[in-house]
Parts: sequence; structure tokens; C-alpha cells
Amino acid sequence: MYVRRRDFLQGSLLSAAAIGAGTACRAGAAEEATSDEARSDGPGPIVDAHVNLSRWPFRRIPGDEPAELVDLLRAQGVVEAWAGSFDGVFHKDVGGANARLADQCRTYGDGLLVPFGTVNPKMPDWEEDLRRCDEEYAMPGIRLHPNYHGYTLDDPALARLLRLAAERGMIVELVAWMEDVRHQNPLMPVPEVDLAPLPAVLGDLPELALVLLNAVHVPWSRHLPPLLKRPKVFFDLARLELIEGLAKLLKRVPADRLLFGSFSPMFYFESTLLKLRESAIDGADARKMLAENARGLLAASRGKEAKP
Amino acid sequence: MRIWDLHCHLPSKHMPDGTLTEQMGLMLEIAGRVGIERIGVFLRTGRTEGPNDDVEILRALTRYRGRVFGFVWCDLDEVRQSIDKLQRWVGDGPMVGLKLGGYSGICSKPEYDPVFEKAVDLKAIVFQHTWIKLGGDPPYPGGGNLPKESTPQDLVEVAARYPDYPMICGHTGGNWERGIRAVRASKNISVGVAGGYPTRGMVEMAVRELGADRVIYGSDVTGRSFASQLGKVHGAAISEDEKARIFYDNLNRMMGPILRAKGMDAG
Repeated sequence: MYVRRRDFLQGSLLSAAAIGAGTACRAGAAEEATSDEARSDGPGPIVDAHVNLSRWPFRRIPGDEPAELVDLLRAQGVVEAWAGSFDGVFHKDVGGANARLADQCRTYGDGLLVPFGTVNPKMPDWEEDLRRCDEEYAMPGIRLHPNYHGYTLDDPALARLLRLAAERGMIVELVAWMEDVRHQNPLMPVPEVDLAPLPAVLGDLPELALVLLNAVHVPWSRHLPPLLKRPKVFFDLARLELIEGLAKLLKRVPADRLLFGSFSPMFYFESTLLKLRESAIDGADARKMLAENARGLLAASRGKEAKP
Repeated sequence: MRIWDLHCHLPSKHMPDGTLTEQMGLMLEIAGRVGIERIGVFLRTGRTEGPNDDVEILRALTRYRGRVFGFVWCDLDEVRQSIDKLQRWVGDGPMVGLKLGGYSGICSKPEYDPVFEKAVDLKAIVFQHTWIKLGGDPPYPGGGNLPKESTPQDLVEVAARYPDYPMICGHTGGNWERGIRAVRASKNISVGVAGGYPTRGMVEMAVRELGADRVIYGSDVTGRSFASQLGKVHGAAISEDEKARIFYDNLNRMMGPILRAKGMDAG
């Protein structure tokens, strides 16, 4: 298996700067929590299903050097991070982007970074990119950017790509959104992916493990109910908003279908992490979202057991 | 680290049904989980009946006096009414600030000056929603703004008329890389970081260009989460001292005059 898992249990969720740096208030009375209190209830290591390497072309982002990103993630208790590449979003030479991604994941983090290469099914010979991701780089999954690559989800090329990925046992991460359309570069406005065609596309692919990234902004998204009927569709938490948004989402989506994804470094890691505390989520549901679901998915994708 | 949240909305359909007082209590409880002590709440007044009428607003603010800062929501097109609301709720009542939203009028229009003059006279905190939304054909920044939605540049014009009075540029202009630049030279404008996605680099740029003393934390709940917005500051590559100023010191300093004038705990 490509990924070497490591334990960084000492960097648990609530000992991290995110929450430990703040205060914890009991209901009705604001009281500062000591850092020791904050450390006492950490739910354990985190598998972050949504990070990116390389550069966002419209700004430098603090943490966009791979060593910086690794340090940032480790400090928060992340033991494994599924990494795509901003280059894969924008570059036509997807093969080059994937080769660099694989190299950087080998070079930095000592197994913490798990590469998810990009496949653009509108590029000539994209099948070779998929093959390389699987066979040459041993990537457990791929990442898709339909809105940046210029296709809709009812495009036959996507259906074929999903089928081939499923046959290879690869996880597919489909990114629905990257940036608020209200302040994109005026020369390059990119709308959000319309997920409406997706349930039909998945109709005869029950074995496909699909993770929808940045697809859930509010818990009542109309796309959720039909997608939840599919057995192996998952969602990350990075873009979720609303007061107690995670608690509200859990009333509609079981914890088994949610993965911790921070969208680092584009988003502040702490913004996703604190959603668990705001919604008072802990125990089994927290552990599922923070690590267990992702580990199970990864293990199942290759038909191998995850290491404990 | 102490945290005051400048920017919350109530009543809300995103919270369990209940009176304003009940929702306010629950919001404080949720805020407490993530370390927030006090919250600024933007409130629409003027209802004479229903679960959120003026009597209920008064009841809620009395119940949570000292932990909730009320901002009275005004419409600049209704100058006389806005002045009266400021007098009733800030001058004579429990509120501390003026809230101007995305539908409240383009604040730079000179005919709205009496509203700002009244707010200054009462030492009210002045909060102006601002955005620079991409829109139009071809798209351009600001082309997607609502007809009565102010930009940071509009607030710069207002702030120039009251150069010694602090004002808050809500949402940092939304399009924050433009908004920060727009207000940079206006030393009496601070930016509120509430609302918008927690894009890494936003707070760092604001601190670099404006100084940490001109950056104020807020969340924009209930449409946003406390978590996503707190993360902007907790996760920023700035010093702990700068975070403390953004989370608490700056708003506390700005509110000092009116809290003391009202005999309220200034924290």
C-alpha cells in the first residue's frame, strides 16, 4: 500500500492551536479553559480528506509550500492528508502536475501526504493519466474539477471515467466548488458544479467510492437526498456554514457519510475543526468523521485492511 | 484569550423556534462552546406585535445586559425614522450601535449624513455592511452589488466626513483583497472580518496593510458559523498579541465610550 500510516496521537484535535488557543465557555457563563482542560478530550488523530499542494494562481496562500503545509497539518493532529494539486486544476499538462504531486508527497511529510492525482476527461488520452495515477504512483484515488475543466456531470466522458476508476478500485474526489463566485477574478469566473445529474450517472456504479468536496454549504442542499441513496457517496465539511451547521447536517446525513476535509491551505484549517466543538459533536460520530470513515474508504478502495 | 463577536443576527430561522430571548440565550450557549464571551446582535425594530416585537427585544436585551450588545438596524432612505430609532434604542435604550445592511442604502449619499451625525452624537458604534460583488456582463467587481448595497469606497467617503470617529467596514468588503486596499488610507475605518468563506490569508493581509488595531473579529451567524469565522483568526499567521487585539481589544476599545456612558460593564 502506498500510504504509510503514522501515529501522531500527541497532536490531538483539541490540543491543537485552533481550539486550545481560544477559550471554552460553559453554557451561560464565559470562563476561560486551561490548556490542560482543552487537551483532555481530544478525539484522536485526524485524516484530512481535502488538502491541496502547489500554488493557487490568484494569490499566494500562507502554507502553500509543502513543508509548511505538513507542519501545519501535523500541529493539528493530522496523520494523513489526501492531497490534490492546484496545478491539476489549471494546467493542461496534467501528467506533469501529477508527477510533481507524487514526488512532493514522497518528499514531504514522511507518509502524511497521500496523493490524489487529477484526471481531466476532456483532455486527449486522459486514460493514460488515470493509469499512471494508479499503476505508476500507486495513488488510492483521483480528483476531478468539472467546472474548471469545462464539462458537466452528464457528459459521457465523466461516466466513462467513473467506470474506469471504479474498476481500478480508486476513490474519486469530485470538487464542486473552489472559490466564492462573488469575488473571483473577473477574467475567470467559474460557477459551482451542478450536481443534479450525478445520481443518474452513478446509477450503475454502486461500487464507486465518490467523495464530494466543497459540495455542502448548507445542510438542506437539495442534492443531498438523492445522493444519499447511493451506497458509497461521501461529503466533506470544509465549506459547511450555519450556526451549529454540523449538528444540523447530521440530522440529514449520517456521520458514516462525512469526512473531515479542511480544504487547506485555501481555508484556515481551524475553521473546519471548530465546527465539531460548535456543534458539540464528540465520541463515535467525531471519530468517524475525523478518521475512521476515511480510513475505511481507503482500505476498501484497494481491498486491503487499514492499519490501526 | 478573550473573544467578543461583533456580528450576529437574531431572530433567526436557523435556530429552534422560540422567542428572541430564548434564541439569544441559546446563541450565547453555542458561542460559549467556542470561547466567545459576548456577542453583538443586529436587530430589526419597529414591530408592535409578534414574538419579536419591540417589547420582546427590550426584554431580551435586559435579560442579557452586559453579554449582548444590541445594534439597531436602520434604513438610510428613512432618515427621520433612523434618527428616531437611534435616539430610542441607543440614546434612551439598551443598544450600543447602528447597523446598516446590504439593503440599507448607499451610505455615501450626503442626504444620509443626519443619520451618521446622530450616531456620532450618541457615541454609537457604526457598522456598515459592504461588498464588492463580481457581476455584470462582462463581469466586473461591484457589478453584482444590490441596488442599495454599499461598497468600502462608499464608507471611505462617509468616514472622511467624520475623520475622528471610528467606523466598521463590514465583511471587509467581501472581496477582501480589494476592500482592504479601499479603506487602507482611512485611518478611522476598521474592518470586520465576519462573513465570507474562511480563506487563508485574509486576516494576514488585513493585519499587514491596516495593522492589527484595525481588524475586528465577528462571525455573521446564523448564516455563517462561529467556527468558520473564528478559524480566520485562530489560524492566521500572526502573533498571539495581534489575535488578542482582533478578538477582543479593538472592539472593547471602540465600545468603551458608549458602554461607560450607559453604565454598562466595559469588560
